[in-house]
Amino acid sequence: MIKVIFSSADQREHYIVSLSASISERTFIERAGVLANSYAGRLVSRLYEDLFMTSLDLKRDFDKYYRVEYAKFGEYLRKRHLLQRDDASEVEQEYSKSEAIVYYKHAYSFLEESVGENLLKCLLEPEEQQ
Amino acid sequence: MRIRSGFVSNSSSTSFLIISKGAFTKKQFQRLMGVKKNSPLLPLFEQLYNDMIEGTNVKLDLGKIKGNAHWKSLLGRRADSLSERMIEKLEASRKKGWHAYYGCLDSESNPVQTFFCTDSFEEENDEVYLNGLECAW
Repeated sequence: MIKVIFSSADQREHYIVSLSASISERTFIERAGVLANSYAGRLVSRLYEDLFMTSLDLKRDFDKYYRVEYAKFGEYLRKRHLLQRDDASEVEQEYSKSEAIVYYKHAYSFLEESVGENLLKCLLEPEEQQ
Repeated sequence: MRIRSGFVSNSSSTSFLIISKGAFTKKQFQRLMGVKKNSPLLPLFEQLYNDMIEGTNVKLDLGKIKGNAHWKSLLGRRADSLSERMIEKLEASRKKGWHAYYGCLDSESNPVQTFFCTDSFEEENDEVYLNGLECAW
């Protein structure tokens, strides 16, 4: 699942991405169809790093630190991250079937709008694109 | 009234210099940037290519420039952003008779240009040199 969340705090779109299995950087670059030692390759590596190393894994964060504070994952999303009720409910449904649920907040400008969502789908959920 | 928190930045522009063997083509650009033809990033780089062609202020056939080249006057508007590195590359490419494209990208035009205006890069292969290092906020 790739969900676009509009943040009223900074007036920008953020992404919540649930992943059923982790993706290696090599696989990510292969899916991107770029040469590793090139500008596009370095750009895709930066995107990978932003998604999987810098962004908060909500599931891990909840399991490790906030399970004692919030009874449910949805409650953690609502109260800790101020997600709208419908958004929190939708993301909560991904909890049991996901290995990670990433909150990607600082997307590059070229990932804004539907073009960016489609690009992320190609990189993260290529099987669902076919 | 809308209240915005966080930082607000000014718009920016980036000068670029392209030096290519013959006319600068989309295929040359894709090879330079390392984008394969089946890449989902291809539309992004096609947009950047089109924006650079559109943003080109001066085109020069370097082989036709005789004597001492006064690059700043040849490249006209925004020539203040011409760096020593760019001049060095222009001089070196004269002997080869390559073509030069000098222009700028604007952060206010579309999300693709906004990104590349805030990025800084210099790429080179055996048919194209691209300098996008001169960012002016």
